[in-house]
Formats: sequence, C-alpha cells, structure tokens
Amino acid sequence: MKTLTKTVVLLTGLCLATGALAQKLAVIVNVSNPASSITKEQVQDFYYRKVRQWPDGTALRFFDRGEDSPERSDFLKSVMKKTARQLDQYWISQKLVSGASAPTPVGPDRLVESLVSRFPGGMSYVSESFVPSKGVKVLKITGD
Amino acid sequence: MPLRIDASRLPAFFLVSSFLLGSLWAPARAEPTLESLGRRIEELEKQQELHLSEASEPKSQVHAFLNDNLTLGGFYETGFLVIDGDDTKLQAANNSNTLGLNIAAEFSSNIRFVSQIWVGFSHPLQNEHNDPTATTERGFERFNFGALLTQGYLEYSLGRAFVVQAGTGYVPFGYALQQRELVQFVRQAGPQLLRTNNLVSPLWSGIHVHGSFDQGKNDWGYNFYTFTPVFYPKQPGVGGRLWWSSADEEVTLGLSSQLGKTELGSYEAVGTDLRLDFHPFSIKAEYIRHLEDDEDPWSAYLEPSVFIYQEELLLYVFGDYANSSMNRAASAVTLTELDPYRQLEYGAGLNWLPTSFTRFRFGFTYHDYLGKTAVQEGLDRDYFSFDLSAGVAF
Repeated sequence: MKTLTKTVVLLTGLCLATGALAQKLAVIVNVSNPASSITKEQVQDFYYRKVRQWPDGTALRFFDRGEDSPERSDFLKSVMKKTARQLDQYWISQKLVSGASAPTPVGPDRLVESLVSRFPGGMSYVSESFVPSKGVKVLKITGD
Repeated sequence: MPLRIDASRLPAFFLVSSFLLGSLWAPARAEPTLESLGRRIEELEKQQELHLSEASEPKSQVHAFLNDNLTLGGFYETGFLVIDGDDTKLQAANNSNTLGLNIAAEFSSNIRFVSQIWVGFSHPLQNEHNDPTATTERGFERFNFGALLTQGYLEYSLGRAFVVQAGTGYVPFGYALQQRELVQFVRQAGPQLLRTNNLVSPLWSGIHVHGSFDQGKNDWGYNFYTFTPVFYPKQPGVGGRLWWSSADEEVTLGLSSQLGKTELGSYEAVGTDLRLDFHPFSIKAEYIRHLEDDEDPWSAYLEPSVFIYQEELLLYVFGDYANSSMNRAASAVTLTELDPYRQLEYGAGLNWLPTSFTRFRFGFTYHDYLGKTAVQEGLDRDYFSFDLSAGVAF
C-alpha cells in the first residue's frame, strides 16, 4: 500500500512539474498594443493565421521561434498542443490549399523583441523570465 | 650582486623567458580579437534583423520569391502500381506522375490571391472495372498527359467570420474532396469517393463564402458556394457545409450538401464526415450519397491510422465502399450503356516520412466487387493491387 501511495505521489509530482514546465511562457506584443492578456485559443488562432488582424484592425505579424529553441518546444506542448510534425503537416496542407505559410522563425530573444517592437501588430513568445526593454510588453497567457 | 648565467643553461633561460614574455603579451593580443568578434556578431545580428524585417515588412506591391507576400509552393507525386486477378493479367506501370504548383500573393492582411495548377502524365487503368462490353480489357493505358487549373481565386476577408472568395477551388464537401492534395493522402490516390462518378461536382466556381466562430474551446464554421454542374453547365448549382470541431481539433464533424441541375432534372448530394485525431492515433470516415431520380450512388470509407517510431512511420488499414449505380465512363473507353458496380476496397499499408515534407508509401488493396454485377458474362471483376509511391511537398 505504501509503495502504491509513493508511486501516486511521485506521478502526481511529475505531472505537476511537467505542467509547470510547460506553462513558463509569455507572449510579447508591441508596446502600442492595447491588449493586457491573451487566451490560448487566441494565440492558436493567431498562430494558425485564422485571425490575421488585431481587434483594432492592425495587421498581425506573428514571429515564431527557432525550431530547436526550448521556447518553441514549450510553446508547441503547452499552447498549440501539437508536435512539430503535426504543425509541419498543417502548414503543408495550408500552403497547398489556401496559400498560407507558417510564421517566420526568429532565433534569439533580442532579435524577436526588436522585430516585435518594429511592427505595431507584432507578436511572439518568450520565456516567462524574459525582461522586456522598451518597445514591447509582455502578455500573460490565460486559460488551461 | 652581478647576475651570472651559466652558458650551459642559456637555452633553458631563453625558453622560460620567451614563455613569460609570451604570456605577458597574450592578453593584449587576445583582447582586440574578442572585441572584433563581438562587433562581428553584432553586425551579423543586425543584418539578420534587417533581412527579417524586410521579409516581414508589408509591401504595396508584389515582389518575386523569398518574400512573405508571395509564396511559391507545391508538390510532386509519383506512383507505381501492380495489378493481378483471376480475369486480370498481371501487369505493372508507373501509373502517375503529377506536379502541383501553388502561387499565392498577399496584397494586404485581408486581400490575397491563391492559385494551383496540376500538370502530369500517367498510364491510368483502362476499363478499370473490367466491363465485358468495353472494347478493351482492364490494363494500363499507353500515355496520358494533362494540365488542370484546380484553384484560382481572389479572397477578401472581413475577419474570421466572413471570408469571400471569387474564382474556383476545391469544393468544401467532406474531408477528402477539399484536402485533395495527393501528398496528404495516406494511401495512393486517396479514397474511392474521389474516383466514383456522379457523386458531387469536385470544384466550386463563382463565389465561395466561409467563416468560423469560437464556441468556448470549440469551433464551428460554415461554407456556402456556387458551382457549375458537370453534366449541365447552363445553370449554376449551390452547395454548403456546416462543421464543428472540439478543442485542439481532436474531433471534427461535418455535414455537406450540394444541389445542381442535370440534363433530365436535378440532383442533391449529401454527406457527412468525421475525423478523430488523438495523436498518434487518428480515424477518418466519410459518407457521400447522390440522390437523383431513382438512382442513388454512394460511397463511404473508414481509415484508422497510427504514427509510430518518432512519427516517421504511419500504419493504416481501411475499408472503402462504392455503389456506383450511374457509372458510364471507363477511362478512355466510351461506354454508352450504364455499367453499375458495387466495390468494396480493403487493405493496409505503410507510410514512411523521413522528413515532414517527404512521404514514401507501400500499400496493398483488394478490390472486391459485390452483388449481381460482380461477375459479368463470365468475367470476374475482382483483382488486387500493390502500390508504391513517393510524394514531396515544398
């Protein structure tokens, strides 16, 4: 019985730790953007280009992160809930059927920040510990 | 005290001295190198930033290639098919080679143009259903060449809820008909409903309006379109689709319908489709029925699949039925009489995806003809096939 309890506690801890790991992301947007938070569903719609404008009509520019970056890995797991392969298949389908292509991948945090600050509709994601300088602001992702 | 150096120790003295002097000079030499490296990295980062911002900058006009505003893509697929049966000669052919080219231009965040052209040559199956009244027996044809504009539309988006397109494109009827990219299918040439005559018009033409809405974590959407009926191009038909999908598109359910004229009257086509996607498992199922006078050809399939081995391999099985009661054509053979058939295709296969953009397939299919027309004038229609194919999306 004790072994079972230990196993359950261990597994629960592991699940919580995995969940916590996957939650350590924040969205950055241009400082002029009036939004203060964003839901996972909105981020998904923006990423998939189902929605191409912010509510005020500003054209959306989503910058993805480098393929091997830990941020992208967390983003796919916790926000998109897809594997990299699944997303590749999605974009193949979109490119062939509707002409839409995947968001531009950008490497270092500083570069992402610089690009998001340059476009009023700019948007990307960073680790939660990222400290923004001028030009961008951080939105917390709400929802499950 | 004067410094005295033993002559025999001079080489060792010079060695130690040069090492010490070298050590003293080393930081002075390394410092500028690190600085210049740092400057170089900054320079490169600025250049990368410039290139990325140029690529992302909205342009007032279309620029060619390597620009986000104009996308060029496509696919290539080649297939090899082996067939054999009691009344079918063993034969093999490189039966299809298709190149699809897509060009899309984004003029603003709500206006874009999308196009696709298919070109290819093939050796398709002649008299595919082994009709004894045909002048030739089932077999691969000599050579066929074709080019087709499968998509070409200008789109204006008023937001996610209302997008209007003018031109032509894949008909939003079920799943396979609107995702009919060869490289996306897990089995070569996709399900039978794409090859069954008289089910639905395969392309919309004129106007297509679609949109989608959030409903909590779920989505639902609609399509409405006009099309030109294949057998009666004098009056446009209309069609529509309603779909619903759960969070993360794990479950997608759709209902489709199409109304059009024929030479003798009118027809209605109805269909439903279901997709379950619980990665790595997925199931696709579709059903389409065409209603016209007393005839009602229909087709349905079920296709479960699973990804294994780090998503590089995909195993699938399928059952695919078609009741083609209005079949007349058999490839290049002109049939004046109806040639109804009922066919159950079933089989299994393997897809190997070494990268997300490349796919190799191997599949086995048994073509089991059912009912009164399974054997015609002593000619058995049943046969089996092996297929090998490769596809790439770019």
